[in-house]
Amino acid sequence: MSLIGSINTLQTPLLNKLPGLTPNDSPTGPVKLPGIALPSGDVSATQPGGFGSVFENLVSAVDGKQKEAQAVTRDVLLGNTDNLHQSMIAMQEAGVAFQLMVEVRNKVVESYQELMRMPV
Amino acid sequence: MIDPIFQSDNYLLARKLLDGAVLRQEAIASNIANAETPGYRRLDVAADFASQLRSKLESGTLAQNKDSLAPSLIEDPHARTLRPDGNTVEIEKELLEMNRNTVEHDFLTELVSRNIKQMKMAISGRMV
Repeated sequence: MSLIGSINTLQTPLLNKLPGLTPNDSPTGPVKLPGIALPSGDVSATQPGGFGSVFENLVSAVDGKQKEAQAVTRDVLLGNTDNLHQSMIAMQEAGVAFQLMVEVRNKVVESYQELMRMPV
Repeated sequence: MIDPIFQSDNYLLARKLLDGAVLRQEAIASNIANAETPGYRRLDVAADFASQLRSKLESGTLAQNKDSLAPSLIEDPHARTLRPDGNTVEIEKELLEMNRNTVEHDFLTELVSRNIKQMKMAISGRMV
C-alpha cells in the first residue's frame, strides 16, 4: 500500500542502520543516502511541507482509494460485471484507509492538545 | 446542509436497487405460492425500472428524481409454459432467482450501511 510506504519515510533513525551511511549523520537531521543527492541550499533549516506533505499524500491516497472503490462498485451496481467480491474488497480497503486517516488525524490533534496543556 | 450528505450516486443507486430487490422478493414469494394455481402468470419487477435508473444516472439527475423513481410489479412478458393449466411458474427457476436476489440484497445492504458508517466516522472523528 502506497500509504504505508509514505509513512515509512518518517522513520529517520532506521535509515541510520542502512549500509553506506557516514557515522556522523545525525539521527534527526537530513541523512545522506547513497545515490540520493542532498537538496541544495541550507538543509539545516526546517524544510517546507514536511509533515504537511505527508498528510497531504495520505489524504489524496485515501481519496484515490475511495474513488477506485466507487468505480468498481458502480460497475457492479449497473450490472456491467458480476465481481461482487472485488467491489467488497475495494470497499473494505477504502474503509480501512479512511479509518487510518481519521485515526492519524485524531492522534495529531490529541498530541497538539497534550502539548498545549503542558505547563511551561 | 443536511441533504448533500446523502447525495453520492452509488448510495442513491444502492437505495433504489434495494427497493427493487425487496419488491422482487415479494414477487418471487407470490410466484412460489402460486406455483400450482391454474392460469397464474409469474410476476417480476418491470424492466423499465433498471433502464430509468441507468438513464437518470447517466444524465446526473438521480438525486433530483430519487422520490419519483419506483419499481413496479408486472406479469413477466417473457415467461412461457408447456403446462396444460397455463401457469408460467417454474419452481426451480424461482428458487434460483430467490438465491440470486438474496445475494444482491445482502450486498446492497452492506453497501448502504458501510456508506452510513463511514459518514458517521467522518462527522464524529470516532470509530463507530
